[in-house]
Amino acid sequence: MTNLYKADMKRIFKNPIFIGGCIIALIATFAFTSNCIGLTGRFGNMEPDRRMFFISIAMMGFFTIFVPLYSNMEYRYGVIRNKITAGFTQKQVYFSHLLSHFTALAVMMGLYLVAGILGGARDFGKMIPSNLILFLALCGYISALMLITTRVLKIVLVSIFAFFLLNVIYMGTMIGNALLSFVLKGAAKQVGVIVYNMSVFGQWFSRTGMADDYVNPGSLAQVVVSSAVILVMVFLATVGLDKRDLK
Amino acid sequence: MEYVFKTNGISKKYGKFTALSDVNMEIPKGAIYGFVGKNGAGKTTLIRVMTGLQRPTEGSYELMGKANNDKDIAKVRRRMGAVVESPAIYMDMSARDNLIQQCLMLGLPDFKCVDEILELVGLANTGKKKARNFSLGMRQRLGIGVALCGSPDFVVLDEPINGLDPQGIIEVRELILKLNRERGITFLISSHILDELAKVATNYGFIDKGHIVRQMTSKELADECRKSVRMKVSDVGILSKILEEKSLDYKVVDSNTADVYAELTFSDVAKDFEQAGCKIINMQERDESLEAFYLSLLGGSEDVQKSVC
Amino acid sequence: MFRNLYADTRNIILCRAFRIALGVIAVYQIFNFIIFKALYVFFLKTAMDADTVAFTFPSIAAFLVTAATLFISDREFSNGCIRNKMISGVKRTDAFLSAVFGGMLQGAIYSFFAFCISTIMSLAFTVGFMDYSIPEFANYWLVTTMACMAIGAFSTSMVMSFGGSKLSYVIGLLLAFVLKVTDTFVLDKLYPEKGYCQLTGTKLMVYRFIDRFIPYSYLMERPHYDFASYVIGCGGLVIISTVVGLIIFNNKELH
Repeated sequence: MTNLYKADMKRIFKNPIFIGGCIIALIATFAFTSNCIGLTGRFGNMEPDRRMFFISIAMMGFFTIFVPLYSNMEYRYGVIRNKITAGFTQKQVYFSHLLSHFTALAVMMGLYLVAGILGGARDFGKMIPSNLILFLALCGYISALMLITTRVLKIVLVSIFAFFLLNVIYMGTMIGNALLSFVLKGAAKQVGVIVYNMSVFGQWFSRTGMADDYVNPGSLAQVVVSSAVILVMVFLATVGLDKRDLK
Repeated sequence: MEYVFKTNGISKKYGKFTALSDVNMEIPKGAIYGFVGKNGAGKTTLIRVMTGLQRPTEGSYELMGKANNDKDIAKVRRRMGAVVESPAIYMDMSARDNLIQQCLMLGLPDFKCVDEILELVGLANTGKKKARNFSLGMRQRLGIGVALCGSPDFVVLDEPINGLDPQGIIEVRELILKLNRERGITFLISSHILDELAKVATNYGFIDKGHIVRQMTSKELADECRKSVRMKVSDVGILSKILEEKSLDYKVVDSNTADVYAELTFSDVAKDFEQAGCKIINMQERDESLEAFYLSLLGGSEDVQKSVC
Repeated sequence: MFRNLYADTRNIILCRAFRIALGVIAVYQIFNFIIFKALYVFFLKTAMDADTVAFTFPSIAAFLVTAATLFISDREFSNGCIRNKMISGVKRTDAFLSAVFGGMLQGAIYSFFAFCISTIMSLAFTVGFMDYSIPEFANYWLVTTMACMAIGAFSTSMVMSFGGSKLSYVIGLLLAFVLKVTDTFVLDKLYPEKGYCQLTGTKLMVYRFIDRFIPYSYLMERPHYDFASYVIGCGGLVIISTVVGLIIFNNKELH
């Protein structure tokens, strides 16, 4: 599987969408953090560290496009046949893609951190744990996208489901804010907080300071929730995968 | 005899539909195995099972000595290459990059074989051109090139000459023969272009409705393809009478032509026909083509045009 | 032209994706109704008014119409059927206009179907409207229908323009999402919960333009402009996307 991973990484680093995304991440993060674009109002009054964290959610949008388009190529071009014929299993192909995407995310986050530091972010005490938690949450999101890409083979449907997931997460977070503020109480509220933090958008929102404090269950809880999401998504994506017939 | 691939009662069902039923097939090592069958006969299904893309519903197979449920079969698969249906290539990469990807995936220590393979399949001059801009024939050749990465011992080609021009067909044929002769690579070729298959295959497998109908060597096939003499006469009724008296097997083609399945001496035949008052206009020796044999084996039109070999 | 129009319309109506989209609308509205009913019964402990459930479709309309038109229009390229049309003599303009009309028709049918379901639910399972009169209710749905038709036309036009490219799978859906998020932000700035709108100058003009003339915004809030604005917005999107799309499609290489 190391060979598969190396082959996938080579492809990702040559992919123009990924390269473009990294460049945009670098430029946008620097521009937003340093405020060289002249932001006013709420964003103008923020410290660079908070502005830097704000822009990080764009990576969620990027991977919503990148993961399905990249990984679906296995089925669209049929190149998965080469891998299966050479003795690899569908699970191995899945895991190599998943790990490649995690690595790509790590690279992009690395560039984002560099750009943020160059743009004036200095609170390393907050920056590092926040971004580690965000990294894990984004890994959970990527796992969900990989589940869609692995189980749904038609590219149009993959795109539709990926954006459906994005919409559900966004709307769910917005509705969650209202429910947690006004409706849910006691145990229901605690469960609501856990569900709220299952999505990267929910975790991001809770850390931006725009949501109420009780929405953030703490760093450890967020790490545990993200890890659980990853495990569940990986399980759902791989159960019975090797028995699936390929055409 | 050593076999690279051997099945034991393989069946494959998709719901209620049975694509393969109790298939027993052997591909000898070093052979060029021509796999022949009608559309929907089960060729591609068997190839998919063979390459691990799908699992058999029943039965088992051995690939280069390893059973399909053996945990070491993955190692053996590294020595196999395949082009199943359409070529599996990255459209956004050049020919060279596609081969490099395959080498990386196989864990090859270097990419020395890439240039050689590009030369072999005639894509050495494609440079940075992306595969999506290739013609169908070029993509087909690139697919074959990808299958040849890693110096496989067994290569499966599903309709390899689809989309190739006559020059390309000759080149692929020469390539297969060369690799088989020089490197001892075993080939399984599934094709509808039977005359082309006849030029390369050393063994044949005929499949119909999910069953292997016949397996034979090319020598056995040649023996079975019937020689005949096509006679054009003035009165086919008289011809029929004469041949029936002599108890010779024949078939009337049209109102003045018949094929006679026997060794005939022209002078004896001419004498008999002259006595009966029938003129012989033309006599021609013919061999039954693979196409005609296939149709007679698997069923088809009775008015088979038998080409002269 | 009309023969082609009939063929495309028939193709849409018979398509399984079309029926699935209608099913999704029904399920979503019924599911929403059940959730809200449970909330009202178990948490708020009051009778439910029609306002809560009558307008749930607009929240998914942009995404649903975009996704459905993408799926149905993309088949022309993924199956290669667009080539059959060209080969059999259909003009590119006719093929494009017919597809765009099909997109608008889809938008209209989805909206009308949602209207029927919400009307039935409002009449049968609620105590009536609190903030809407019947003309206002009808006006809201008319604007929603027009917006769906405009979005259908825009989405189809993009698929036809980019047809066969990876971009076509992503761009329409991405735009629908981005405009939805942008509009939330725009509405928050134009109509803040507390206090007055603080925007001035160009920013105010741009935000107002988005709110007044972009059909995606019509699905975010109840109608609060004159009807002519909505006609201009929807008509403008249809005309611009059709004209630009036609130019691109007529000059495009088909593979």
